[in-house]
Parts: sequence; C-alpha cells; structure tokens
Amino acid sequence: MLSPKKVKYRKMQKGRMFGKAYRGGKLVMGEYGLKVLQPGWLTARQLEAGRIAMTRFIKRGGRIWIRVFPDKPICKKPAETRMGKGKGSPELWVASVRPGRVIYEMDGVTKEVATTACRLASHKLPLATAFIQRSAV
Amino acid sequence: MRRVELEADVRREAGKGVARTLRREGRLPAVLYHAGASVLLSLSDKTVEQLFHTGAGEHVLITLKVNDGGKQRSCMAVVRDSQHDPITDRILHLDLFEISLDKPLRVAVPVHVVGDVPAGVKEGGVLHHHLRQVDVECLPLAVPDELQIDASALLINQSLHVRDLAADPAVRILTPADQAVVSVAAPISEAKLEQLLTATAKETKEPELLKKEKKEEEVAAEGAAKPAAAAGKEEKEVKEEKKESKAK
Repeated sequence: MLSPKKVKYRKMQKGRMFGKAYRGGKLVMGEYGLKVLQPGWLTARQLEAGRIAMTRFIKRGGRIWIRVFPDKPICKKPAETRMGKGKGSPELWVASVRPGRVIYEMDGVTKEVATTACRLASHKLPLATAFIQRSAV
Repeated sequence: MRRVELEADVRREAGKGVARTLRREGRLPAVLYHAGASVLLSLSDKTVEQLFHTGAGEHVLITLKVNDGGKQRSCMAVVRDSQHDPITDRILHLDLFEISLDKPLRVAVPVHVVGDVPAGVKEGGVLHHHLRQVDVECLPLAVPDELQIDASALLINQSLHVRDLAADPAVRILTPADQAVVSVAAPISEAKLEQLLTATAKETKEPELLKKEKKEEEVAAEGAAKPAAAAGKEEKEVKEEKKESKAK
C-alpha cells in the first residue's frame, strides 16, 4: 500500500478542507480520469482497492496513474481506553482531497472501457466522483 | 487556426469582488495584454462558452472588438491562459494576448493521432501518448489547427517522434525533434499483472523519522545529564537522614 518512506513528524493534526482543488484538477498523463466532487480523506487502502478494481477490468490493456498520495498519518486510540494519556498511535495513511481533484488517470483504452473501469473504482471510494475526458486544447 | 469574433467592454474596476459580480451578471472577466501594458475587459459569458466548447476549444484566433465607453477598437488576439472551475469546468477568467498579423507567434498546437488502429495495438500492445501538444512558431494566419501523425504502421516497441510530424514549411516546430510523440509498448506480462493485482496484501511499516539522528543525540545528552542528577539526589537524601538523626 502507498505510504511515505520517511516523515518529519510521526503524528499530524486533523486539518480542514476548505474550497476547491485549484491544482491537480486537470488531466496530465491520460485521456480519461476520475475526479472527486466532495472534500474528504482517501485512505491508502481505498486508493489501492480502486486501482486494483481498474487493473482487474482493463487487464493488460492500458495504463493507470494515481494522482494523489496518502501522506497524512491518522492516529487512533486503542479500544476501551480512557480519555487522556496523550494522542493515539498512527494507524493509517490518508490523502486529503478537495472537490475537483483528479484521483486516477487512464490511457490506452477505449472510452467504454475507461468509463466502466472508473465506475468500478468509484465504488471503492467514500466520496462522490465524476468521470472526465480530455477535451480539445 | 479557426477565427472567431468577440465583443468586449473595457472595465475600470479590478478585484475578486468585481469579478464575482460580473460573473453573476453573465459577464466573464478577462484581461488583454499588449505591448507591455494591459486592459481589463469583460466578455459575454455565453458567447465565450459556446465558442470555446466547440471544435478547436481555446486554440482560436480572436478578432476582438473592444468597446471603451463609446470608442470602438478592433484587434487580433489569442488565448494565452484560462482559468476554469475545478468542478463545473466553467471558464472563470481569460488572459488574452494581442498579436500582430505580420509578426511570428509562439503557440502550442494539439497533436492528433490519425489513421487506423496501430499494428502493434492489434498484436496486444498499448498505445502511449507522450506528447499531446507541440510548441510552434509561425505567422498567426499560418498556425495550423492541429498537427497530425499517422500511427497505423507502428509496431510494438516502436515510436514516432516530433521530427515525424507533418508540418507546413512555414511552421517552425520548437519542441525538440527527438522527443517521442506516440509509442506502442509491449503489454505487461501475466506475472506483472498478478503482482499488480495482489500488491495490496503487504502491510507497510511505520516510516522512518527524518529527525531520528537528532533525537538520538538528544537522548545521549539526556543520558549524560541523568547520572549527575541522580548523584545530586543521593546527596540530598544523605543530608535529610542526617537531619532526622540530629532531631532524634
């Protein structure tokens, strides 16, 4: 699963997700893509599940890119623990995304294949998404 | 390059509040750059959307009729940059660049793959687009709508480069000639596919801390400080014991 190799600090604060993604909202590598329409966290596990769903559908036919990286550690306290005694330990990695952010890109496949693959991937994500296609320059 | 006509009004006010008011009124804020200066404009939102969402998109030569409080002026312009809403893809702002028809212009021209399905793709290969637009320099009226490349004869592990693009002699391509435009890659092996489909099983370890070395130094310093503190404590305890014995 995707996670950083080195970090400066082990734990991070929650943060807020205001506004829209004015960066990372355009297709760069592929012809088709999947864009999120809501702000939220995408865990490394969800991103990986989406990628695998797409790969399983297109098999050896095309190419897939993941445009976000889960670099935010999320800490959790163990079950049945009283409050206090400090922050919990890092449990998972998430990518914090804002509406308009492109999550996956795809190339080398037909539009029908790309649409279905993106639909399968979108079922693995907790946010509303939209299929996008490269338009004229 | 497709030619379109647009009417624009000069605006005096700038800023996001003004821009938002304009958008609410169905106008699109824009700026026209010319000869080191700039003029703030407002265009008709619907006209721009209709023009740019058909055919060549923003790759057009614009005949701009600027209305400056009754004074009419006409000029040629191209779209240098555009801002879009990340969700709706609605145009938010346009940067227009005034051009002269007798001076060469540098623009990005889209590259389109034409012809039949590449032979390599029929054999199971995957078509990779490395370059979707190239920079060209030519007179404004000679700017092509698109540059075409025929990839139908491309076999697996073969590629077409910028030098293979069929461009008019009046058009000078600025992108390096040895840069690949399209290629057909061999399909991934069954083993690699299997690996891609099962990569999720691995659980990742906690990442290394960049400040680890510093921390170790701090720990060592703390370790050196501790024995001294412990010795101080022992001395205190001995003094307290002496006090207690005297009191008795």
